[in-house]
Amino acid sequence: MGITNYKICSNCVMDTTDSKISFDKYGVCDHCNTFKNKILPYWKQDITGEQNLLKLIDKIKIAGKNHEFDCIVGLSGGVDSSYLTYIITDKFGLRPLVFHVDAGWNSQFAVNNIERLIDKLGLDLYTHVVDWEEMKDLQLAYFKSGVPHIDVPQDHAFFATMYDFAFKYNVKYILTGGNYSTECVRNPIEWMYFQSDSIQLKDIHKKFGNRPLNSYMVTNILWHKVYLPYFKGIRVVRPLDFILYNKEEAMKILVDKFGWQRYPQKHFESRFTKFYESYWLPVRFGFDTRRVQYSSLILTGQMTRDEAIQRLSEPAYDPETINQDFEYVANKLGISMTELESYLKAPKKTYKDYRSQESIYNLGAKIMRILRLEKGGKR
Amino acid sequence: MISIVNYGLGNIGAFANVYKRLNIPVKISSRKEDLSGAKKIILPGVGSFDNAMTLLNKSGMRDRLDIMVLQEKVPVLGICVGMQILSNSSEEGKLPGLGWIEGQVRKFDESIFLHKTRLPHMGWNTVEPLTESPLFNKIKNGSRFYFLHSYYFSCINVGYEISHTNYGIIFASAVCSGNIFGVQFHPEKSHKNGIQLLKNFAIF
Repeated sequence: MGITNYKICSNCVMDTTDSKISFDKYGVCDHCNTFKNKILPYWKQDITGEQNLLKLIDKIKIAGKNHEFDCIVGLSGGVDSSYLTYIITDKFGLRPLVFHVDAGWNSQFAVNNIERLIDKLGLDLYTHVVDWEEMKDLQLAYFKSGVPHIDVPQDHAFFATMYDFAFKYNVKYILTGGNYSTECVRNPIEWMYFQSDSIQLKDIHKKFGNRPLNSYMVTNILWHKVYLPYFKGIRVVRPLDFILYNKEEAMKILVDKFGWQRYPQKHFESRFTKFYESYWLPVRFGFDTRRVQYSSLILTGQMTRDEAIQRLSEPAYDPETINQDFEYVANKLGISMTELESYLKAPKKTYKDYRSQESIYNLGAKIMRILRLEKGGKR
Repeated sequence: MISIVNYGLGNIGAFANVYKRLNIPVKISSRKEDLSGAKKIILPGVGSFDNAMTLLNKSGMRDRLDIMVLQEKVPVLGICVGMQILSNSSEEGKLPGLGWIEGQVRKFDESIFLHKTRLPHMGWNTVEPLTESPLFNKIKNGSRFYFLHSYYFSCINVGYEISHTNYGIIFASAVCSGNIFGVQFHPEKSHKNGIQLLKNFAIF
């Protein structure tokens, strides 16, 4: 991409660093238009939304009757899942099993926030701990593979473990903090390929991994998108889409009620993700996930475009602490800083360089859109 | 036969699964009758000190456990809060502990940490065994175990401390007095090393 071809959306801050971006005659990008045409008309944040949520809550309660808990809620310690945990218990009276997957990279913000919520809401926490030796090996395999989406080992583990738990204990509802309000613009596939693609995960592990994945949980799209929902009746729901969810207000409430701690940027509750999104992706590939996050906030009226542009003019990482972070990641993975640097400079690969289930994802997305079960989505 | 004391706390299933995979027979004991015949006892626990003591006292198993552990010398392994309640008392609560190992449970002093947000201690940390305890058989010095706690066991007699871990200060991550063992970490969440430790407890 030459500098002369550079273009930025006139409405949000997505730009041609997303190579598949297209613009209409007003200079508005396809992310904005997808949001306007495909998501907004169906997204009810008013009283209808809340009524629908109440109906859903009733269904969840009925499904959970005579069980120890009604549903599973995934808690990372970030704002979305923290706020979700708060409202479904305090406001809607659900009895969730609070599920946390520890992949070894929890920041102190995450740990502290989880503790405070659990303690004050009187909930039980179920922690699944990923085998660190396997995790480390798989993460190194992703570094060696040269692809941009090296955060897959964490993300995949979070979801695979939750699906597995729901299946084993026959819990019908999995609640996640996923939401349009802060995530209506999605990371382009070339930046972050589908985290749940087990074929790709296994291929990269086979080529670059050194130890078998004995306890690392692997899911498969056909299992969790088809078998679990349609044969076992296990659904993933996103309650935050039914209410007026404003990130800043949610954080204020969490701070006031729980002594919850703010953290500098979305996804920084994981020390690895912080390193990956603020340093690795922008420096090695030129992909700045803040564009995606800020664009979502612009589209949902939570940030102005001017503020986003101003913030984007600062580097994505903190130059003062990046050396420490770099060293921390290398040490934790058990490699030298020189080795980590060599992966930073190694030839770039994409998800297309390895086996994948891309065709299944594309077909699935098409069907979901035709059936209107999914709006927007990745591209 | 290993008895896992089910007094309403801790992930009983996780221990049962580990032993099932190891082909070691276990029994989940919810009443004192279930404890008979136990050659080893596992005392799990999560949550707060007082809650653990209240539930254990109410379980109907307390007296039988006292006799088995203190008189019949049946080996017992307390885990996390199950370890902390082996002590006399805790800064976290008002109720007396089991008093099986003399000591007090203290809160980590956050003021000595570099950051204010260091509690709970959650995640992997290394464990340095101090003695040749059968619990750490085939487990290398500095092996990683999984922790989740804000309080630690401070023994009156440091000789009861059989492993140390560093989290701002050096604290006892495992304790032992005769047939009474306790570990602050979660072996059931610590994968290979944890399974080895649970196996060690079962077969020594």
